[in-house]
Amino acid sequence: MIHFFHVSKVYEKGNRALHEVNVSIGKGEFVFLTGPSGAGKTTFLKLIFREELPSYGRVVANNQNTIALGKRQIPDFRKKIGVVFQDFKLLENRTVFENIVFILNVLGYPASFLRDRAFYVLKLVGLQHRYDDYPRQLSGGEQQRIAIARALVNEPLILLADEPTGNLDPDLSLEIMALFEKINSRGTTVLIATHDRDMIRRMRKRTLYLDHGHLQEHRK
Amino acid sequence: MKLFIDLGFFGREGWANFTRSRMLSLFSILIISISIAIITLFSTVFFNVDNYLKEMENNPVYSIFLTQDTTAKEGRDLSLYLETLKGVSDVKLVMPDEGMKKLADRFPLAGEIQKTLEGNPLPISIQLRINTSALVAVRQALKPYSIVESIYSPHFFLSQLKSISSAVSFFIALIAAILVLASVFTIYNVIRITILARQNDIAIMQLVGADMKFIRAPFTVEGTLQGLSGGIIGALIGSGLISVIKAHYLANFQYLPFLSRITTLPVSYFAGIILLSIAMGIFGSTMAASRIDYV
Ligand SMILES: Nc1ncnc2c1ncn2[C@@H]1O[C@H](COP(=O)(O)OP(=O)(O)O)[C@@H](O)[C@H]1O
Ligand SMILES: [Mg+2]
Repeated sequence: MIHFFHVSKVYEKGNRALHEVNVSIGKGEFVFLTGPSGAGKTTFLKLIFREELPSYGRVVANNQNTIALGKRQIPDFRKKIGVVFQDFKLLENRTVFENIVFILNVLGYPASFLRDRAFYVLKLVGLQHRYDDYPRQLSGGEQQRIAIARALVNEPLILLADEPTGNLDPDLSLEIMALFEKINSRGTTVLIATHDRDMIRRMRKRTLYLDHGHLQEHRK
Repeated sequence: MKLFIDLGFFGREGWANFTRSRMLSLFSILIISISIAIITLFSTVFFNVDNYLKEMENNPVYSIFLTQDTTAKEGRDLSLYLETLKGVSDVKLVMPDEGMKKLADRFPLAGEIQKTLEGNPLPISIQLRINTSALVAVRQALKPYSIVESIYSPHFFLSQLKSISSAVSFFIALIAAILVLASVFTIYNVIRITILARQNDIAIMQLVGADMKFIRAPFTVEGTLQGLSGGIIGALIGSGLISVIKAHYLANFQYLPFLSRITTLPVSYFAGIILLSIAMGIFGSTMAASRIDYV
């Protein structure tokens, strides 16, 4: 499902974020990606949904080499990947409901389906009563849960989550993890970047460890 | 089905954009409506001049001026003779008093001058319509009549008017083209600015997999709405101005009689003007939206 072949990423100013990364994540896997801040976790995720391109090597996701993707193919490629961004990336001047319905519109779902589907995912994260609020009216944790709901709404093949519990209290974090497991049990490949060691220990999943751009495998 | 869902989405998004960037939209609409108002004014003048010229061309009226010492009977005889000629119609004998009255109606100053003169300086004249094909024969037939002083043909006047009118319409077209360009340029830049203002949203939409058409089309709708509203407002202002100018300045304007009979544009012209402004909106905004980059 996701393959990194000799991937290095060097940003413009010579910042080396990833170095010679080789890894494969199979279909239906649930994987944690961890490491200190600045280790390259976000960069790793960005390479998968082609927000960034590798400087060396290649990244293959959903059987598509991200370098070989034409500009016009990018949207369809990304539609199959749900992303929970570290900074949420909610549309500021749209309500919670509109933020979620937007994706369904873009994917061309029929109008009758939009409402039900949007409320379904809002219920999953326990925020259906905030549907008419704007992101700025929500706490950081609530915005994070909206971002999670949005990533789930079109049942993506791959779910990438960047510090998805960073703003949540422990109980809520567990609930969200349970939600990710549920999504995973339906066949979605899940990759979660986090530096929450307790969580990783508790979940007993495959874990990739990044340090200064170098990747190591840890299996528990 | 999918298409209608998409169109509905573009429409709603475009309308939301349009109302959200209120100041920019208003600025754009202001520029477009000024341009369209001027274009409406010019088109109205052009339309009326053109109509007047056509009328003149289709029904040329000639005047035959007779010598000063011609008697009324000689005049009557000549007009009876003219009526028998082929291609001649609407023959009308104009006695000096009547001629002066007409002149004074048309040029008030001439009436004033006449009052200071003793007697009427105008000769008897005959007004008639001559079919263009019969003109040579009629001139030939009039040769032996020594009482014919001169034949006044409208052709010279008409051709002069035509060359002035074509020069004026070229000038009008030039100004209209400049105004259209200025409007398109304004829409283009206003949409560019709104795109910049929403760069963040555009990036987010692309990262969650929105197709370019979903990102670009709402801006085209926004530009189209600007064009449409600017066009309607401009056409209303333009025709309003025509009515005001006509009522206050042209009603008693005798020198160019068609100006006092100036009419507002027919519906088809208005439809054309509105279509033009919609096209400006679509063109300017589509150009701006096509420059949105892939993230
Ligand atoms: N857009 C960028 N331009 C330049 N350097 C960057 C950029 N994004 C990240 N980096 C650098 O790459 C390294 C890895 O960053 P990141 O992937 O965000 O790490 P993490 O998510 O693990 O905290 C850091 O040193 C960071 O400063
Ligand atoms: Mg990060």
